[in-house]
Amino acid sequence: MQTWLIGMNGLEGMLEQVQDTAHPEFRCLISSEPPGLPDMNIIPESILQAALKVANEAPQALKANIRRAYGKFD
Amino acid sequence: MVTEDGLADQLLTLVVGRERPDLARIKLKLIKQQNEFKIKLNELETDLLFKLSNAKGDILDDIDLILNLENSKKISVEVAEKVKIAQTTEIKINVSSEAYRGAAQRGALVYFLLNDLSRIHTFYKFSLESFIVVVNRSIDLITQKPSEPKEEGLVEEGQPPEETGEGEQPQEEQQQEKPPVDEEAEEQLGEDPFTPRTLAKRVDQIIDSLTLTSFKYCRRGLFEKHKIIVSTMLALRILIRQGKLDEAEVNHLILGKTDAKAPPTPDVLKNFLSEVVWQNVKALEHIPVFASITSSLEIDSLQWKKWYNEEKAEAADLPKAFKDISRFHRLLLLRAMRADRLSSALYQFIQETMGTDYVEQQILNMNELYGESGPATPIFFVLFPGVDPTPEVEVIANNVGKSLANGKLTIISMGQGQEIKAKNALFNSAKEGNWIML
Repeated sequence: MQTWLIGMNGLEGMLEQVQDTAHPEFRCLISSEPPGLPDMNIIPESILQAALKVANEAPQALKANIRRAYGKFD
Repeated sequence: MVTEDGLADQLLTLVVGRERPDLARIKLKLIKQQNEFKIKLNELETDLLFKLSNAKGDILDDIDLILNLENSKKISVEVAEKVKIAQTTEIKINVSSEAYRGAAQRGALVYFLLNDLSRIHTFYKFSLESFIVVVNRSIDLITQKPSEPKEEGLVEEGQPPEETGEGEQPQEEQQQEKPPVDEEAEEQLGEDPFTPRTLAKRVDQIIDSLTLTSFKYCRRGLFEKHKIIVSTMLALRILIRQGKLDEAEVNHLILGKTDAKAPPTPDVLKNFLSEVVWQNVKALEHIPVFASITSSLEIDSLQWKKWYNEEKAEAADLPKAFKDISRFHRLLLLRAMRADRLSSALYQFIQETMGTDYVEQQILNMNELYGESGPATPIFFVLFPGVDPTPEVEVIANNVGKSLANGKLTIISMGQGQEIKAKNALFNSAKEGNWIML
């Protein structure tokens, strides 16, 4: 995680630099696991601010259902 | 840091620019005109001073100078008149623009909520620039066809037939009638394409589209557990702003206040209420609607016990004295007594106040996502165990001719030693118009 983080931070300025002159068809997609704690910064702020954020988690309802189902065996 | 009002002003300019480009154009023209006037007056002044200071002999004999002076006077009078006309036009433009303030304020409210979300998670960050793109898109979504605003509304709300002779005719035949125009500037301003009623409808439409579009934009990136928080905060802030909810009561709901100094639980309630619940109920007493809650509990303890033990307390009838409290006050009661049913009640509350779109989420549409992205708008996927977006990314990339096979799509797993490789690939992709996934 640590090395990955360094790599990402190196990318921050680069992405901005590149965007100004980028070809219109250029697309940058980034993926990352969530940080260990919600207040940990692991992705450069400027990338997060500009990016379309996608958190495609399994629906809560399903998880809640499973959890509830397990709970019945207690 | 921009204030909410400041942002609303900024968004107002944006919305009016989109909705009434005619007004925006004239306003721009007026600003330019006023600058020209200033320059012109300044030139005259300098010129005059120059001539005066260089005048030889008796000034009154210098015909040239006197003529020039006369001319300057004429021009400055003309300018003053034009400035006056410009001012009335500007006032009219501002009045027309103000009609859109509600939409601008809603935009500012939503953006400030988005800004607050970084306190929940560091991933929740949104630049104003990207938000403005979303606002524009929300207007695009309801402006597909060239608008034909002249509709039924005009019949009832048409110009009152003062002074004009044609005013005698039935109003139905006068839909095209223009109000009398007497000033040059007013002619440029043209007719308002909306009647008060159709305009209000249009502004509501913008407000709805803007709220939903920006909510969807945000929700797509939210963790499941945060979705209900964000939609609740949105609903509550809107209702406070509309004056439909009291801010102190909303804070009570959010914070879940409790009265640690409450007297011990009365005996009649001890058999079903815990000390904690009793303290929560005591804290509710500060809210006018619940002023009599503790005495009601004691008097009607059997009824309360029945409600308290209902499996779906949020849907069950409350004891008589509290049967008709509002949906929102029910939330407060659940928060105090049956917190386990609060989220279910919140879903219902949001559905009723905001609409189904705010509780039901469609499946992620990759084509839509691609459509919103751009060279300066990256896509950021939050990875969850067992969910890998790569295959879907490949599909949309292939659709636009970018594939791993033709080298126009590069996928690099960031890790040790990948930095240089990633940087080079990033530079190349940007130059060639390729895709890169990191």
